[in-house]
Amino acid sequence: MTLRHKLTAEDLLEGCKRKDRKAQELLYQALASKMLGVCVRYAKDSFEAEDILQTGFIKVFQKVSEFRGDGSFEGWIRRIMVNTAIEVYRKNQRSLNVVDIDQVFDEPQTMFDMSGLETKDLLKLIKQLPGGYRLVFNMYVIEGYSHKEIGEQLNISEGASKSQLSRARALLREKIIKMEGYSYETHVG
Amino acid sequence: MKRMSDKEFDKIFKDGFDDFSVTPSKSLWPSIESELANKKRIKRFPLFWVAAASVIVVFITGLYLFRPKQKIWLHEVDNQVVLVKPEQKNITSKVTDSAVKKQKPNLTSALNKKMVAAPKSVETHKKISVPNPKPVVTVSVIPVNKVVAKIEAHEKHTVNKVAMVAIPDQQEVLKSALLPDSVSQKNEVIASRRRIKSVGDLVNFVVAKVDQREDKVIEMADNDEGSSITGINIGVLKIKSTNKNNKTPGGFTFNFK
Repeated sequence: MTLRHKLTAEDLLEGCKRKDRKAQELLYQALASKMLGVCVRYAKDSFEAEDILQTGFIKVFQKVSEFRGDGSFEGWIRRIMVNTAIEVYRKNQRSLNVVDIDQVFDEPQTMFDMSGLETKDLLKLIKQLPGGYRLVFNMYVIEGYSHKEIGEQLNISEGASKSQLSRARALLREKIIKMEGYSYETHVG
Repeated sequence: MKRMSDKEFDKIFKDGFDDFSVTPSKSLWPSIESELANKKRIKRFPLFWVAAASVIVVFITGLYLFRPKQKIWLHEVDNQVVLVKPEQKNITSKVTDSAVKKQKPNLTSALNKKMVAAPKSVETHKKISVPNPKPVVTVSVIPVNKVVAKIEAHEKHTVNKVAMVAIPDQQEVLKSALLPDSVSQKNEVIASRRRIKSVGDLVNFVVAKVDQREDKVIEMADNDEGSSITGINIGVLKIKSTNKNNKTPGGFTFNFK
């Protein structure tokens, strides 16, 4: 199963390098849902998410010859999606809401239960974050970029990246507490 | 309820989105496909323009090369000089007439023509012997015009000169007889010497150098608002302003061949 999957991925890569339309379509069908799952975390709505996905795939097909095979093809495509999401964000917003490191307050280590949260709830929480926070949180926590990388990608300092992440976490925690509190009250009542 | 570190907090999100996928709308692939096709079409555009440009170039070169032969004669400046020289030597109409006839079919070097023309002029000078000083004056007027004169006009000149011989004494009459022909030529001389003041003048000047027809490819005139096109002649289609002096480009005549 794994072997067969690897072979087809390899075939698709070669086909895409030849600009073969059928291979391009197969690659799209194989990865579109997964990549849209990435895009929705960055986009403000589902329309923007599909816009990012479309632009991202166009870039993938145009730049596929530049893929040197360091790392997985899927990981490379994922990075393109994230880059495209950043570009779209930049286009739609004039500047990132950069928070200086001094302005970051020490958030209290709150205690709550997150086990009941489903992915759609997490997505809802992320989407409520201000744009700049959302980018940094997504890139660091879910994509696993370092602060240095994020700084380079977003054209901000490493410190700004760190402060944005802290602020994002604090905001998310606040929101979860509110959700928890609300559900607790409804349970009791 | 438990105390949660940043790492644990992050892990919940990371695990939550690990295999997260959202099905895109079905219309997305078709729109990606059409965008890919569009990009390719955009790349082809320059080729299309190159093709279009080369067709235009070929068309214009064709127009230039296959013009009526009369017009090409105008570049034979040497010819005109030869024509003028015998006249200045006080030769009557017959000589120039024969000189013209000789030179028209024979477009070889100017020197040869001089050789042919010169002895003849001497002979005729002796034979006819009309050493009238008055024709000298009238003839000397002609070369001035000749500088820019068209070759088509040669026949007219010879007609004039015949008239000269017929009435050699009446110089005034001769001058007036010359007028109808020379007016247009004089105008041309004036036109070519006129200063280029506007874009229209520049266009007219350049076009006049290339296109020797009476109706130029494009003719422009100045009015209050600047230069405007008063005539177009691209062979098949002729458009010309009927009243050149009119400031508003009102009446136009259209000719389709």
